[in-house]
Amino acid sequence: MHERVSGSNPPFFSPVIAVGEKSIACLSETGAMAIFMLHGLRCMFSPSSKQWSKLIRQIYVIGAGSFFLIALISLFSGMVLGLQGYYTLSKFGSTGFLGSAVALTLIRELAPVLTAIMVTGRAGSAMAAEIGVMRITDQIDALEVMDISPMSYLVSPRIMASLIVFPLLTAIFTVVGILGGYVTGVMLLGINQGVYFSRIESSVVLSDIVGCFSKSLVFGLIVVTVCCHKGYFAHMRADGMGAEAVGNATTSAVVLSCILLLTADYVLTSVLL
Amino acid sequence: MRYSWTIELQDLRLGYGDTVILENITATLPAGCISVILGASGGGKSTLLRHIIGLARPFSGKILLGGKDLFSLPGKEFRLLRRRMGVLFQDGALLGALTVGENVGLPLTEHTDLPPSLVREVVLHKLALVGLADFADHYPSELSGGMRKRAGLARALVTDPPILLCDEPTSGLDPVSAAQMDDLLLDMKCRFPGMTIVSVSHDMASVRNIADHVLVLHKKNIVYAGGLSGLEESADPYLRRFLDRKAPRYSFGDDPRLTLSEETQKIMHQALDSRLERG
Repeated sequence: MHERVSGSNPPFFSPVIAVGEKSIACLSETGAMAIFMLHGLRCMFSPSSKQWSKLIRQIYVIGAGSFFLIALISLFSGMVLGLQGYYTLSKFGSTGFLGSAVALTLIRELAPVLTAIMVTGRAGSAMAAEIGVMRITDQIDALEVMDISPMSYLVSPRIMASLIVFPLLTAIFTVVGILGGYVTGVMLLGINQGVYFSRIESSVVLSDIVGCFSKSLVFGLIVVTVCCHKGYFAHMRADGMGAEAVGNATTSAVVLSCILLLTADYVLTSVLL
Repeated sequence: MRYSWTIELQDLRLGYGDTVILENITATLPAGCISVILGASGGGKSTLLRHIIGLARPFSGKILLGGKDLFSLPGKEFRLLRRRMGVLFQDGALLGALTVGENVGLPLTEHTDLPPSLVREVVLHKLALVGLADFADHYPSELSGGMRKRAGLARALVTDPPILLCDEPTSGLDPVSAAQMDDLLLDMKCRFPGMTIVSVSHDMASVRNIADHVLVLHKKNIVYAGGLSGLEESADPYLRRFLDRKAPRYSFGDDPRLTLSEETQKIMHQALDSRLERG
């Protein structure tokens, strides 16, 4: 931890000092989260076969539990894309490209980002709250005392599950979204269904799919790391204690996850394009 | 019982961050006895327990468990030593996602390859010892506070540890449940001869029921270490207040805030009454 700069500086330095302190605290927390994530990843490879049952439970909680939400959101996202895309493309007389527009928008951007944000809101917040409550009610201490690594028991299965579930949910989002675009474009607005699908086939290339799944893997790591980290250290928060600390940890887990997701999305998009 | 371990505290100085909570702590908690760490709320009892468990590292000094210095052991040995402690946390600290039976069997399922049927047999035996054999398939949220503590005790005992540490086992319990918990600890002492049982408490009735050896903490130090009879006979004013449950009389001086003017009280009560009338 950094030391606070003494108060002997002239007042006009205060904003600079405040920004500096915030920046150092931010960097320090980012570093702590990176170490936390690496520790969690390392524990994934522990020889215990008992990790399987925890992994399957987390796949169920994060994946199966989010399935209907993802399907619903993706259906309406695809339908809106179809509608907006149709009216925009019709201005240029190129409504035949609706399939390409919907598919590429979903695969390259919307599917990984919206899936990650939805999972953050549904499963990530629950993760932060659950681990936070375990922390303040001594359950994590109890695990340590029983010589059961809380990282192996609580964090690793969640990281592992996110690496499996995020790409799957992203794929589901993409497929259902394309079907949503089909509903508005083909069924409601009368575009030829052969044109819709052939444009998708001709415009989507392997690198789009690889980029989509790469993003979903990175987003999965970000969401689970941030949410688990915030819950795990809920007892060390300066802005509250007990239930309040868990609430604040959950809020900051969701907010920080969303900020990091969009930042990472920009970085990844600029690398992948 | 496989072991008989004493706990030796040697010149401990401990706390959190820059705050020293206890210092010059030297004592021996004998094997085969129930030792009670007694002291006022916020006096460092639970902090001392957390250090004995190995959840926090002292600023200086040693904690010897069965002759081994807990904090000078390399990682693997430290972990092995800690596996030999059973700990009952204040509210049981049962994992909410697991049933009571799964909670109790957790150390066995995580550290061994025992067949589930054998683990189940051991779990039911330990739960029977605390009177909860019929609750193995219940979730902790379905149990009362006292039952959760007893389930926590069963989990602490599942590996037959040579050391059992209990953090305020009777706090928050009604007198009957508290007495039941005391009886359980006495029963454990008989069933597992040689087990070192350490309990943190400020409940004098419980201390009188179970303690063989008492350690009293006050103002960062040990003010008494010895048998219960010696404690009862002590003439030390702090110990007497503690034993006789008498608080020192506070003097507030002539603080004007001690009196609330009649006018203010009248306005406040009128406001509350009118709110009630309005519903």
